[in-house]
Amino acid sequence: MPRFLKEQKKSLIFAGLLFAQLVLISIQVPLGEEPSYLEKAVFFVFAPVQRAVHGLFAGAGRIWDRYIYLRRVEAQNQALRDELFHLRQTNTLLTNALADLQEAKEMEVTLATLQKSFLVAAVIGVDASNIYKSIIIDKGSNHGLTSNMPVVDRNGNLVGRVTTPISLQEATVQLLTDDNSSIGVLSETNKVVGQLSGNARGGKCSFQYVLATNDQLVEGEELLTSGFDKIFPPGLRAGRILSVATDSSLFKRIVVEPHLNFRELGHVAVITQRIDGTR
Amino acid sequence: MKPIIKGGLTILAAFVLTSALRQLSVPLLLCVNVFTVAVILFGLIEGEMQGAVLGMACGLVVDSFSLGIFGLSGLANTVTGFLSGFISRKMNVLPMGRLFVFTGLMGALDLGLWVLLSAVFFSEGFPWGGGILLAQPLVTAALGTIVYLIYRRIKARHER
Repeated sequence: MPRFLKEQKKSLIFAGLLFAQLVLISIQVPLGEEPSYLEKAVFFVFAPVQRAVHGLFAGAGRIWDRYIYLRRVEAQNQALRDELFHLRQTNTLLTNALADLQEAKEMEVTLATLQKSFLVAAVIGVDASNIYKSIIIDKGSNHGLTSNMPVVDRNGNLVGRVTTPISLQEATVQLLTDDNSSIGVLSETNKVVGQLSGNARGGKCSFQYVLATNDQLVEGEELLTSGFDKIFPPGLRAGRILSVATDSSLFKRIVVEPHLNFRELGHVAVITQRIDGTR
Repeated sequence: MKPIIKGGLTILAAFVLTSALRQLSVPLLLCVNVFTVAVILFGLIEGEMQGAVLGMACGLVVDSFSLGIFGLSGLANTVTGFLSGFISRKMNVLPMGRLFVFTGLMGALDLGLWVLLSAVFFSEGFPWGGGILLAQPLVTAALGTIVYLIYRRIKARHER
């Protein structure tokens, strides 16, 4: 090996590592493409570790709660909580989705569909580099999960949607607070339509494309999914308007506080069937 | 123990600790970056090349569980790992006070690089978290110093 290369070996390897990563970053352009095989491989390898840690904590918690603390009551309580969880989801969706339907027959079909359209999943991890971007759940393609399935919390509030990478037992959920998230929403009272985009800097969202001339929005108003994006069913509670401001832009600057609460994100429900019954 | 096994175990330990922290509190992840601590200490103990390689591996693991750009954390961690090893070879950073300052500065460098790369070059949002993120270098310094002191003690006892 030439003397120069020997002397500069460390610097050259360091430069090589940096170059390799720059290549890795550059091949992802345009953004929004499928994750690379390397990214998928790392996810597949490490996701079970995350599941194991979650299982360890959940197991330790269960031992404490069930066997030491409140043996019988805890089990009963858990069953009731699960039932309540399902009932809340169904109730929220039913109330909102059926409000727009006219015919009784249509309502019956929708009702039957909704009964079997939820899959409860435990949250086993969060995005380590930005907690407002995504979470990992313990259900994957083996459970029938595919991209774009909506995810709600125990109160029926919108959490986000299933996105890639999805492994056999785990899946990634893009949170509504992610910068790249965009959801069709409308205001509850005045039915002002727009897009809800995330702002991962502070865990807030912004209600976009509302004209500056529109004076119908007020602080505190609820935002519900509109269903126009064909991903999220209509009527899911997404957030509440925090502030409305107008500047030189054509559109208003509206900050939204999402209902997403990390403290209540132990379990989520994935809506596996669309309102029209298709998967 | 071979460096590659050490590195593998370090990544696994950092990943398990990060997952465990998530179980305790999600916002805690904003100010405690276990991977950065691992990269800084690995560079300090093993040298700049090992630090850079571990930094790259740790960053890619973090990125594979993120919807952000794959390779971004890797880039920041590689530089941090390399500089951690390089600087610690040039000057003595092992006394407790210096170690605290050194790990804190390295933590700030890692965070600064990541914010710069994600926000300035790639227009990605970063989790400001109402300022909690700014506490990350301080927590890295405290955690890094404690872990290194424990490591030194165990090593000394082992050698005796």
